[in-house]
Amino acid sequence: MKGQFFLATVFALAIIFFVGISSQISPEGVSLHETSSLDLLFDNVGKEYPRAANLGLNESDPVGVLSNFTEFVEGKIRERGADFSLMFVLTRNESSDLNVTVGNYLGYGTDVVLNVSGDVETIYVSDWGTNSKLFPNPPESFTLGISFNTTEKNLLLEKRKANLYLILEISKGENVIRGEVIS
Amino acid sequence: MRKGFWRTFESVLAVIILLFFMVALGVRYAIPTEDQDLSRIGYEILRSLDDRGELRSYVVNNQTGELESKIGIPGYNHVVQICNPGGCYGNEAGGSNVWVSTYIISGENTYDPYEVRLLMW
Repeated sequence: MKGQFFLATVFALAIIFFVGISSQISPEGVSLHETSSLDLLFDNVGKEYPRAANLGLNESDPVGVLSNFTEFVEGKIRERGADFSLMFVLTRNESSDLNVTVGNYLGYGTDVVLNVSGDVETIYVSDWGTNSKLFPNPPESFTLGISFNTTEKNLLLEKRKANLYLILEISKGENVIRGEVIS
Repeated sequence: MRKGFWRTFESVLAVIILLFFMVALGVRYAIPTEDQDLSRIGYEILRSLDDRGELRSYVVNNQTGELESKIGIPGYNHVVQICNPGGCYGNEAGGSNVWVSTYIISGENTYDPYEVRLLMW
């Protein structure tokens, strides 16, 4: 009986020993520490959108570039387990008129009221869609009012340059960072 | 009497070895991670390179080695990976405890979006 206990103990010790050794010599799983700070993402994305718009203007497709860049950014942010929503408003001079394009990535379609120096138009922008409106002959320096849901914004802009206005939000759980970019 | 003593001695020795082994494993898995958020430092490095105009041309030309040589983090090793919608290029991290900083760009002279990943260990 004593010999059986001795064998069982030796067997148990040998198993524990080899399990321990194997955990020491086998490669460990790689532990990646990506920053959970949304402010870095916000800083990066907010700074990059005006540059993307400029590249798009150089390629005569600012709306296409902004839409594609939004898909890229949304995918990268989603990879980190965060959510991203955005609305952009781009104004461009077309001869003496003003083209205003709204891109909606808020997660739902919405009516957007645009007021260009008193000329008011309402356009519907579907989720992950864009819509444009041409305002005839606004003043060189014009005011742009943007209104949707509970958001209202008034900007004083120049007609001869392209202007970009963004409202963006990045959230992860209860951690939400929201802001706007004007360029 | 003598036989019983050696049995007891063997048992005590076995328990000591076992405890030593388990404590050693426990210490190894309980090493605290550093308080410093290295991924924030990595982001600042990438942003600083971009502000100096030393990031985008390397990224759009997939020159991970040249970009790595621009970065120095005392006490740490690092590699750079460049990711576009088609996948990521560059070396794998050589450590097990890796900090990752990411930086998104829309292109250099033409629209060409990338994500730069700086891995540090």
